[in-house]
Amino acid sequence: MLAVEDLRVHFPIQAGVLKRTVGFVKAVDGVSFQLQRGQTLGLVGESGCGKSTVAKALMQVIALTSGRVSLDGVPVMSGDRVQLQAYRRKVQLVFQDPGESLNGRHTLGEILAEPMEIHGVGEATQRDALIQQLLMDVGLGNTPLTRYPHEFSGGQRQRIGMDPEFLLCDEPVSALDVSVQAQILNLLMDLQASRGLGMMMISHDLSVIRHVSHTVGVMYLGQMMEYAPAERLFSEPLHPYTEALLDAVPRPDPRLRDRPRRALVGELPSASNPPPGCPFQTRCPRVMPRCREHRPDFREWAPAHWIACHAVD
Amino acid sequence: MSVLEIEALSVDAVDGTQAVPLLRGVDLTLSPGETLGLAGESGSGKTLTGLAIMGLLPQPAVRMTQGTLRFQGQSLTTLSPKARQQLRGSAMAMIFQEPMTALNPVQRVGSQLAELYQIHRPNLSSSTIRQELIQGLANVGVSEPERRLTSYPHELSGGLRQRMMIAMALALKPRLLICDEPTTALDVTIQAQVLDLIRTLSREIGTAVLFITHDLGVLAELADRVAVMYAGRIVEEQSVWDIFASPKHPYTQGLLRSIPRLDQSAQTRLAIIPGQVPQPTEPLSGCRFHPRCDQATALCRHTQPRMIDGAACHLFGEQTC
Repeated sequence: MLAVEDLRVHFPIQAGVLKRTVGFVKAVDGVSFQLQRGQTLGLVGESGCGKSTVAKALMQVIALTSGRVSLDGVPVMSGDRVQLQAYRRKVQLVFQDPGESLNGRHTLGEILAEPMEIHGVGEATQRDALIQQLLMDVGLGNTPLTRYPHEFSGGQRQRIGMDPEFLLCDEPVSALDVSVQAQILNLLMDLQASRGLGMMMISHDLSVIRHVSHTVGVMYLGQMMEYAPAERLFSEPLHPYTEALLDAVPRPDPRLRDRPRRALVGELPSASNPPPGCPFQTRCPRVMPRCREHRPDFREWAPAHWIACHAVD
Repeated sequence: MSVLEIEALSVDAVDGTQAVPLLRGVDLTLSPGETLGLAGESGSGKTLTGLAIMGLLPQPAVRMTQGTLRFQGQSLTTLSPKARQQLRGSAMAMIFQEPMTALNPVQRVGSQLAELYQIHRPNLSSSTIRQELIQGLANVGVSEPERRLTSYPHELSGGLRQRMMIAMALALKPRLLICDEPTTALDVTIQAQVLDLIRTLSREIGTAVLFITHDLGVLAELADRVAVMYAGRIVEEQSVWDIFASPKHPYTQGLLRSIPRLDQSAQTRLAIIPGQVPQPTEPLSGCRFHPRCDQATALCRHTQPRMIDGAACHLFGEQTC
């Protein structure tokens, strides 16, 4: 299990010639969750809510301001290179644009062999067989290893990854066409079923999140607003922000076009200057005086259903 | 009278002596106040269709080789480049997916918007233009429009920039608005606001809207009719009600089945369309969808189907050749 406790990532805002720190962007501000093997956690929220920062912090590619990340109960220390390397073999990130994460001057065979060399997986002689098995698993069997990334389509490129226990997917399908998107989502669900992968799916597309997730977290301005089993979150959302997000999703059924909707007015406030109290108070249709002063506690409102809202009682 | 009539539009990419077909036999019509959705995957020719209407094809590498384009009854293909430029921005306008690339980053938004009036309405005084701009921004839901006029594009959020583009496109009340994935880069909450805006404006001003998107959900919310493109051709065109209730073409059916839905039970496999969209250079006889179609027959492999009763498919209608 991959556990995250009270994760905070604050970026300093520097100004002037002396680059003095004049404030902080609280990109992630006190987020906790657990990622189980064989399960998918969906993270949703508008751009700038901190969901990608969570993934980067989990990969330890950006420094945590505070908080704990532990894998199967063992805390992950960013200073311990040996431990970090072992951790990064088990926990991997899939980016939105596969073209950018594959070296255009290396062949498929070289790209797939490199992480195996770094992590000492198998003997050089066994690696070809391992690579062929991997490609078979992702539906790219019988692909010549001498081909270069540009010779693959976007959907094919997205399948060229490694062999982790936890997969953090940051918008893996948002740049793909729907028919290709379906292939990749099926592939991820198949890999999860056959290898017991734990997955975190970050997406702005709530329909995608709904489809693949067992648990869903809704983030807003670096904070978790609601966290619940997927089935429950989509059928009985409690937080006004979750309700508004769900209502805004375009539904592929014209009979629903005049459905009542709780529309949000205005835009996301800047993370460098968040409003006091509840971060959502400037756009909330159910705002109360209390919301403008006190940040609501993140509490377990019903079994496994967590929420940070004063208006829900 | 139709705002736009396209007949048998063909566009080729010309590379040396070789011509690669990009669009073939595209027919579309659009009435005042109507919203036509143009759906399809990347490379299907949606954007090219929009650019061809606007006269913005990257010539000479890509050019129209056949067909007629009529705008309010007037042929566009016989117009001089200057006359077409007069139409652009005033009578027809287009908004793009990424507003940042369409706005000049070193010029204040207000002066970019004002330029449009200076070109197309040279008789207006600058104070009248300013009043019009403020009203225009207020119409698209921009708060504090006077202050926004002095902003630079990078100071605005994605949603605000897209509103600016819409305000600019609608400033001179065009008869035709072409929207090319205008909400794809926006969050769903902002997307909902922008769609509302386009819907209201088309209703109030009577602007005809050609809405290009790969997102069928957006078209279900907005369009009156939907045309689906595949590999440079329109394969189906029906009312929004019919296309979602009973899609005819196997490609449309496949697209609709492959999208995850909010109201569908989770963790099931999504239906997929096997294979990939063919490259325009790929020689392919008959229906261009036949290699991916599980119902393809010998007829489909040899003969290009004609559009009959809203679908270009041998499985529908009386196809004789």
